[in-house]
Amino acid sequence: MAEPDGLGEIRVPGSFELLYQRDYAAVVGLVYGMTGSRWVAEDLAQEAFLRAHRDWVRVGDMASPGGWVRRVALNLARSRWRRLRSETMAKLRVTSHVEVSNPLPDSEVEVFWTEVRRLPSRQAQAVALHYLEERSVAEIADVLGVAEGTVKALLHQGRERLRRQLRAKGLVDEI
Amino acid sequence: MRFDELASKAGKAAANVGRRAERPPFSRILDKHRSRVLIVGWSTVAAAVMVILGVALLWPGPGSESPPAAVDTTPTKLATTTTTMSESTTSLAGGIVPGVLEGGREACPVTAPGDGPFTPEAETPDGPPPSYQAVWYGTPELWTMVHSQGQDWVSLPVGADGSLTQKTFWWSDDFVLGEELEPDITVTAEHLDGSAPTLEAGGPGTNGSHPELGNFMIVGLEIPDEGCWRITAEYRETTLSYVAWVDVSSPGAGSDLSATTVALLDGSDLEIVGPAGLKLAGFLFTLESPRIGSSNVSLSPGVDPADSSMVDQAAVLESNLGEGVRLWRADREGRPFFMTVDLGGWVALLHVGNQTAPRTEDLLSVADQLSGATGQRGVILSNYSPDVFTTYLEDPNTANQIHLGANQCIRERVPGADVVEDPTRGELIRGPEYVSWCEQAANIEVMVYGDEQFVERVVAELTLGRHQPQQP
Repeated sequence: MAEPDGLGEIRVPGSFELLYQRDYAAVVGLVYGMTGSRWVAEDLAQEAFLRAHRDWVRVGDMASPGGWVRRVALNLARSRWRRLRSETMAKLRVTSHVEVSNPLPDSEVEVFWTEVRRLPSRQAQAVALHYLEERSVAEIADVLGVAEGTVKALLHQGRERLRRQLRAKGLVDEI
Repeated sequence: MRFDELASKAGKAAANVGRRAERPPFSRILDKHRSRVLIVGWSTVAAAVMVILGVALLWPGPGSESPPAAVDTTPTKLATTTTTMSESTTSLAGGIVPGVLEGGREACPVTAPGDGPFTPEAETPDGPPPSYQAVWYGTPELWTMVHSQGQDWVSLPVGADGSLTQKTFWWSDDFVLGEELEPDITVTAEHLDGSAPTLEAGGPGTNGSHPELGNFMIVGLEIPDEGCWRITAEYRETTLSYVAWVDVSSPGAGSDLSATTVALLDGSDLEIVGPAGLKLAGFLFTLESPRIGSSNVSLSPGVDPADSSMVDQAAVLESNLGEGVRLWRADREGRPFFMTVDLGGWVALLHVGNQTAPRTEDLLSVADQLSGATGQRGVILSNYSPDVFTTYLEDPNTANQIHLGANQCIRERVPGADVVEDPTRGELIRGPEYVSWCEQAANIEVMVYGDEQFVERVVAELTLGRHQPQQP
């Protein structure tokens, strides 16, 4: 049911609001992993939820509206990242005196996500969903809209490539 | 550290970034979105002008068998609506709409997104690129792009017979590019005040593909007169309509980036030479690349292509096409091929082709364009894409950057920046190592990032003005 939110005709359907409250932080974190910018992550997460809200009649009936939002957010991240990366980097540099410049605690963690972002996009998305949200193969398949077998392959290839990249940087041990 | 240990730690750390992020009330997001649409809405008219310029230059007209270039796929301002969509058919009440001619744009029931944008389930992106300010409109059987602010076609290219040429773009889950290069789609255009005959085009149409738009069908129209037009497409027994206002007299607002010279710093000039060219000197063109045909172009200072961020991972040399011209294959989704052209200390990287390698003669033609017109450190690209609204320039030696945002003066506040008044530039948004302002006359937003000396010099010296192309 729609509930007034104090902004005149703007109404937020109740079940949508629940989804937003429950999943917002997770979607921001997910997009952060894919973009490296909290500023961009918040922007894209909000855009993904906006799209869900606009199309809530349809999205709300889906088996996994949260998965739909994540898929939209990941697609937004993929298509917009190239456009925003240069600008965002510059802005982060400009605003380096504020917290947003490096929200990750360790350089090795930062390098990890940098290397994730160098993976082919589908592999990167699967890896992010796996390690960041601890999603199962079936859940990742639902979010990415691919078969479970494809997810297994993406995860295998992504992890192997990532392992090599991190090993080359001396961040992980040789097997 | 073991890989799984680091991965787990990194996952938790990134998740914590999300948890620490402030979750604003959703109503505030809605409110902000509305404001943003209002702020940038006016600029879409200018964007349309830019696109139309591109269409005029790049599209030879209906009946041409030339494949569409990906660069000009941005629709001109598309529809706003007063209608509600049915499951597979969208149309306005048929027939002539009285008073449209007299009432002008205000009386024209132009199409708008309606109750909510349509989100495709298939391979197509969930929406058009944000810069288009548009949403998908239609059903899985047939959809198009509809501009969120209204479907105004302004300053359409005028053909030799006085008609106005325009491309229309259509998507369908049933459309498979590889199987239907000339899709059996027809488009009719009906003048809603009844003063011009109904047109029919297509049957077949042609096709297009764009990384941010997916695969789509294109049908060109030659519209004989301005006014209120209902455009209806029919594809595999599904029809979709929208109403557009066609205005030949409105010049639109905004910049003509194609006729701009940016003079900057010690003779290192950027010239955008006509709507089909861009000359860079002394700057690294990053990320938002120009294109030649459907090829993205990135210039990098002498890098190994395999290490380029454009490639993302190691690439394998496919073939040597000529001196300094190489075709590479990389493990990339969708567009595995790219070529490099040695420009004497600089390397141009071009994403070329899709799943199959493009023709060698086409690649060599592109290479000739690049190397043949290259200055000492610059390059002139023909068919510069007008749908790239932001031009990023970066000095490779210092990472100082200038961003030129065509058709936009969004005036986004950067954290830590203040608004200050400058006697020549007007209102500046100024922060540490950053400044931006609007060149109102050209409708270009200038954003400068870099060391203080660079920023100050750009503020003092950068000029934007009309460029007079030199005769060859």
